[in-house]
Amino acid sequence: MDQRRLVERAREGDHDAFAELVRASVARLDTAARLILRDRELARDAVQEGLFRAWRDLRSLRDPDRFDAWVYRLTVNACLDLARRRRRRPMEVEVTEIVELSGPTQPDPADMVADRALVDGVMRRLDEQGRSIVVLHYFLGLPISEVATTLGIPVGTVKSRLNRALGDMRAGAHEAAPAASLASGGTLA
Amino acid sequence: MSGDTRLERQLPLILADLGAGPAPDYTETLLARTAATAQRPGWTFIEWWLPMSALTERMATTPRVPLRALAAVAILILALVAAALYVGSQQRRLPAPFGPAGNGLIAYSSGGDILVGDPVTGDPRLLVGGPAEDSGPGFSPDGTRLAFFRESDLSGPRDIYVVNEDGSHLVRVTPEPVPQQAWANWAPDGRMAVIQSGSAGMNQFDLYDTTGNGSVQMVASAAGMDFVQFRPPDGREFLYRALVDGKWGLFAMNVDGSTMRTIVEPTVDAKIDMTYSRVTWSADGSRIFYNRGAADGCCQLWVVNADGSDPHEFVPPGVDSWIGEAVVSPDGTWVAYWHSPNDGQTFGLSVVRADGTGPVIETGPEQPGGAHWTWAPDSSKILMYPDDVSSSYAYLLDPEGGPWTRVPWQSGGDLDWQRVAAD
Repeated sequence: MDQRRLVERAREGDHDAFAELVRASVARLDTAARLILRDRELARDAVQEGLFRAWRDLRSLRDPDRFDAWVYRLTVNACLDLARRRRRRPMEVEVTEIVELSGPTQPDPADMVADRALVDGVMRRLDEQGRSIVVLHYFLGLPISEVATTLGIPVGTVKSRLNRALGDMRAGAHEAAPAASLASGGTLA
Repeated sequence: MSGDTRLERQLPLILADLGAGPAPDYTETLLARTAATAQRPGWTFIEWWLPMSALTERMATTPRVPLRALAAVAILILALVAAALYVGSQQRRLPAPFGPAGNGLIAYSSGGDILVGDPVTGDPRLLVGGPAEDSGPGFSPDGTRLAFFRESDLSGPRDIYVVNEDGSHLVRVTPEPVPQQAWANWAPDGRMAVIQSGSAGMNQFDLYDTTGNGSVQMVASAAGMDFVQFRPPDGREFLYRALVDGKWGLFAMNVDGSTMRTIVEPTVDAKIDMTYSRVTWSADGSRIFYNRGAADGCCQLWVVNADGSDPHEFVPPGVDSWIGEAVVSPDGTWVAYWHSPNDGQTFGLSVVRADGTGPVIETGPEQPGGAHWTWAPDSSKILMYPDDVSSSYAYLLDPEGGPWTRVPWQSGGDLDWQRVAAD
C-alpha cells in the first residue's frame, strides 16, 4: 500500500496503518535526532515524542503527501524542546570508532574518513538549531524554504547558517591533515 | 581529494554515517503507547478550519496577502477571545504564591493514604488511597494541586507524585525515585524543588516539572546544600545554606543558577549543624531569620538583612535556653518560633511581632519534645503538630495567645494548609 493511502487510513484511526508508517520512518528519524542532539537517549525520547504527537494530531494533517515533512517537523521540534529543557544538564557523549568504508559504490575511503571527521567537528560546534538546519536540508532532504517553515525562521537565516556550516567544512577540507591521523579520532552521540 | 561540490554531494552519506546507530528498539513500546491513546478530533485543530496555505505560508519575501485566510483568522480570533472571556469569567481566582490568602482545606496523611479535612466543618475526605504508602502532602502555592511522597519500601527511595486538589490527574513527577533523605518542596512557579545527595559530598538542587513530562532542570550543587527557601515576592532568587571549607554559611542564587552571592560568610564549624537550619525570609523578602548555633549549644534566633548587613539576635537574650525555627506569618505580621523556657525540660511556641517590637506571646500546650507548625494562609491560626509519638492529633493555636483547639483527625506528622483566593 502506498504511503498516501496509509496516511489516510491512519488519519481515520487505523493504528495498523500508522504502525506501518512508523516502522518505515523510525530509523531515519532516530538518526536525524541523534545528529541534532548528539545523545542517544535524548534522541530516543525526541523521536518517541515526535511520533506520539504525530499519531495524536494526525487529523490536523490535511495533505497526506506532506506526512514526511510534517513528521520531520514534529521530531525536530521535539529535539529542540528537549535540548532547551535539558540545556543545563551535561550531555553524555558517546565515543565511537570511525569505521573504514568500502564497496564499489562508496567514494574514496580515505577521503570519506577525513570528511567525516570534518563534518563531525563542524556539527559539534553548531548549536541544536544549526544542526537541525543541516540535518533537515542535507540528511532529510527538505528544501531550504521548507526548513525555514519547519523551524519558524526566515529563509535568509537558513541560507546563511547553511553557508557558514558548509564554509567551515570546506575550509577544514582544504586544510585537512592526512586521513590516517584522523582515523583514530571522531566522536558521535 | 577536496572540492566544494564533492563535500556537499557527500554530506548526506556522511551525516547518515555519523548518526548511524543500532536499530531503534523502542518502536513497539511507542506503538503500544499510541495504540492506547485516542487521536484528537479534527475539529480541535485550527488547520481544520483554515486553508493549509494560510498556516504554512513561508517566511519568504512574497508579498501576497491572503485576504480570505486573514478574514477567517480574524473571525477565529474573535471567537477565541469571546470564549476566553467566558471561560475566564467562570474560572476561580487563585492566590499569589506569597502573601496572605484564604484558608482552604488541611491535607494530612493517615495509614499510608492522603486525606484532606475541612477545618471549619471537621469533615475529612480521602484524596489518594490504595496499597501504596503515601505521606508528606504539601499544597502547591496556588492551592490547586497536592504533592506527596510514595514509597514501596519504607526505608528505600521514594517517588514524588502530584494530584489535583479533587483527587484527579495523578502524575508521577520523579522519573527515578529519590533517596529517602531527599528534601522536596514546591517552587513558586509550580515546579518541584528537590535536593538530594550527589557525588563527592555535593548536594544537588533540581527543579522537576510537575506535569509529568519528566523534565528536570539542574539548578546548582554545593557541599551540604539544603534548606532552600524562595524569596518573596517573585521567587526569582532562593536562599540556602552550604559548607565552604568545612564551615556553614548562608548564600543566595537566582533560580536559573546564576549570580550566587554570600549573605553570611561561612564561619560556623560543620559540627554545629543546626546553624542556619530552618532559615526563612520575611514576608516582603527584605530580611532573613535563621538559627545561630554556638560551640556550647544551639540555638538563638537571629535576623539579617537580605544584603547580608546588620546581623543581630532577633529576640533579645533572656531566660530562654533555646530559641529558633522561625516561621513568618503570610501577612508578614508575626514570627512564630520554638523555645524552651526552662533549660530543655519543656518546649513551646512563642509569637512576636515581625519587627521585633511588643510582647512575646506564648501560645498552645507545652510539649515534652519538638513540634513543627505552619501558619493558616490568612495568618489567623497556627497549625502545630507535636513530634511526641504518643500524640497523633494536631492543634490549632491562636497567635495572640487565646484558647487552642485540637483538629478532629488523627494523622501522621506532615500537615499542610491549602491557600485559596481571599474573599
